[in-house]
Amino acid sequence: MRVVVIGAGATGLGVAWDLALRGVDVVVVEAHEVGVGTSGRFHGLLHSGGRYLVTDPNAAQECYRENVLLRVIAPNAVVATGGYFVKKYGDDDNFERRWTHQAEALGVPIREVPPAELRQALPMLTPDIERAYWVPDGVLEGFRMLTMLVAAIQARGSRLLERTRAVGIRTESHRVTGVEVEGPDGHRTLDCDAVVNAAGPWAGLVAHDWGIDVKVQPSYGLMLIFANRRMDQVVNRLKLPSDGDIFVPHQEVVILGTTDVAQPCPDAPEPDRLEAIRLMSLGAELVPDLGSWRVLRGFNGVRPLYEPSGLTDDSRTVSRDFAVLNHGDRDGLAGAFSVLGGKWTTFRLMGEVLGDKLAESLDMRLPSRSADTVIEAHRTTQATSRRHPVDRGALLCECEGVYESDLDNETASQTQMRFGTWFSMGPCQGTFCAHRVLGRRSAAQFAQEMAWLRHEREHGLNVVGWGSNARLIALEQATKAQTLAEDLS
Amino acid sequence: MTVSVLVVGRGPAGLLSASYLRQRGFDVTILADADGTMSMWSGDFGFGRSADAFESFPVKLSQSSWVAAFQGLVDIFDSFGVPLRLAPPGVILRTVTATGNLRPTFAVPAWQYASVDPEDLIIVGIAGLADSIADAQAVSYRNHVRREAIVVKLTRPPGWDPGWGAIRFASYLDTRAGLAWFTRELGAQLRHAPRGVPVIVPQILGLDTTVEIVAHLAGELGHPIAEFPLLSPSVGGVRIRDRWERSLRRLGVHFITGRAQRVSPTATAMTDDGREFAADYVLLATGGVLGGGASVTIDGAIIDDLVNRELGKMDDVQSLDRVGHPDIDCIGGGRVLAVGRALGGWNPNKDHNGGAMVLGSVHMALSMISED
Repeated sequence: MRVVVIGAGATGLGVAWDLALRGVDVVVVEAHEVGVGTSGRFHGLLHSGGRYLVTDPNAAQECYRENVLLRVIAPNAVVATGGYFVKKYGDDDNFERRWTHQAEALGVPIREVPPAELRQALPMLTPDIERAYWVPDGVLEGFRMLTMLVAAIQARGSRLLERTRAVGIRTESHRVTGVEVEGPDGHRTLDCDAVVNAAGPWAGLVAHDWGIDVKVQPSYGLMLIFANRRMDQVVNRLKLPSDGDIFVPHQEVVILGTTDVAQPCPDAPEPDRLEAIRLMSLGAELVPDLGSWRVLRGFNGVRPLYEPSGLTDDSRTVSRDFAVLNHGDRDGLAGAFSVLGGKWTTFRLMGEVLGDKLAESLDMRLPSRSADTVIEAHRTTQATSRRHPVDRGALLCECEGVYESDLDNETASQTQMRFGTWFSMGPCQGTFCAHRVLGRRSAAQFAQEMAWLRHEREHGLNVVGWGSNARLIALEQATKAQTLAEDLS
Repeated sequence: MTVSVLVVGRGPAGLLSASYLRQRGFDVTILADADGTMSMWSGDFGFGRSADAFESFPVKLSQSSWVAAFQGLVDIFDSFGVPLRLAPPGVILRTVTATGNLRPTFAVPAWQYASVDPEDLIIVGIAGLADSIADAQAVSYRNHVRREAIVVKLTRPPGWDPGWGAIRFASYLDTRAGLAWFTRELGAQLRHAPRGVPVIVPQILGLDTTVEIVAHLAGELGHPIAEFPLLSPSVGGVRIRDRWERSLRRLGVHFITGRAQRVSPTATAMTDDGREFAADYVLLATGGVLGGGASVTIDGAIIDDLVNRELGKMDDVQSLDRVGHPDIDCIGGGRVLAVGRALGGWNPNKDHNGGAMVLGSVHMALSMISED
């Protein structure tokens, strides 16, 4: 049996992984590159469910279950940091009561933490904290998980086609028999027994191409990345989920999230400076000294929320839960499925539920194995592989420690390579390393790849151009315009 | 009575001011913190993209003053051992960047490659040097000028390790063994190359003996040979800084290490550790946002903290365009003058005129001081 999955983000790769483990021949088609949508643009929180206890109990329960599971099956991509929910004086007492009650009812473990213990763990937090609770939040290293998933599905014989866009489907008597794609090799048809729409915020457009109406409610959120890992645990504000109320330590940085703005289109908008300033002042309610932290960049991620009843203006009220649609039952198009909504934390579960429905509809007995199969660390994502180098070549990216020998996978897209190595993601944001790395990848593609990366880095940098970061921007602009004369090319 | 001038900053504008002022007999003190921006600069003086830039330039000097200024520049650089090459009248020189783009310039150190007309080149790639991407550089160069770019590659030198940056390579070439290695390896690679075609190499030809190395290689290899600059910290800037500052000290310029915190309209500077320096004039050569002479607040205002002036805002596309003082007489009263690459609303990154902005503003400041 062959299934085409549209979209190589967390959803699509989660689906592909679950299906591949069932022995299905999977082809993942990705219009751009792996993880360029929502999956590469999130704060990195491995949800304990704490954030949704009151507003979204179903999502909370699923998050907690998957949180526990992912620690076992993907230990190389999750870090059990733990997290805190903190209530400031004046925050709603009633919300706190409902929250602790729900935690007990849903089985999400929480523990009240004495203020002194909290201050010791997180001395940068405001002293105005009335109560704090520990929760099993963690960090999900999205780039690493994506890289591991790609390697894992390829190792099982499934394929990933990047820069390949699904442009239509072929049907015979109301049943899908193939997917039309356009890619580097031109237009062709991939024969299949089923197709899965896992396009995240673009899922509404994909369904539309099939003549099916699916209500996706994209909503973007701005996040800010701060240099240095200034805290080791996740910090949430104990109140109704809102803007600027969560800090996540992610590798060497801390990420502050997020805003939540409903939008009609699936593409992430350019980050906005005024919004960044607002996020800074909201973050300062928890970390009073936030203004002195060096901020590296801002970025927008787009949540692919699913709203069965249609578009809304208030995206905070849309469920964070996911849905699997069998378009055979729903719309009379057999063999077509959509996976909608959900969280990075629940990507595996989404794959399992989709796999079950798909297997059932095709009347095949193929049980899911993704809950008890370890996703192996990919070679280049394994920290240990760097310890015994034969010859690493020149040091190309000082910020992230990337050497010439780390560029050995010539077939990887630029995004895959960046997710694998983190080059250009450190304090210099590619100012010094972009030409070194891209110049070695491909002489012919060099100019385009440079222009793309510079643009991508700059629009995240400029939005937070103040303090010491403004000086980096000046250096980046001078290096680009003067030393390398890129604007004259 | 000798007129005293306090120059704040030791980048190109600060050192150039000090040179000219000392030549004219002023008592000169440079107050600067440890860094300076010389290592961000490879030594070329941009004058805009076209040869008629004299007319449109924001710093108003007569054409004859410009010519005299450039000649004075050549003399100053000569005096500390850095020969400059000037563009012939009415034309612009073009240098080649590490990524194979062309960059307009007006004066460059003779060790740097520059030409009036595009020509065929041999580009040297060096294994183990991170900034060396000869294949990609050659493709860009060919696309820009439709001339040939032949790539030759050298292997890593003996004793190399991954920590070798351009400065380490350059100091290796200052040694007898390093120069022998380079001459031998490059000679072998050029054996089949067409004779006489100019060879360009990454900027690693020594820190102390560059002029001699270039002459030696040209003689041994039978090709003109010159460098293209790499990213900061630039070997070219380090070479110039070391020679220039040594020469200024010899000429009696005082260097004081400290970070200026406030400059008053009466030409008194205070450092962040509480020292005060009074002079007849203060020249602010503090370098805008890049040099650390201006900061950007969270709401986008660009402020010169020394004189507490707002210089502008980050613009609509959030680029740091207007980062300099609108006027050379930057707080009125004529005793605190701003010099440097960003002045009067011009953007040297866009206009490629940073070198001439430095030169022109220093000359205007000079004439304002001399007239008093």
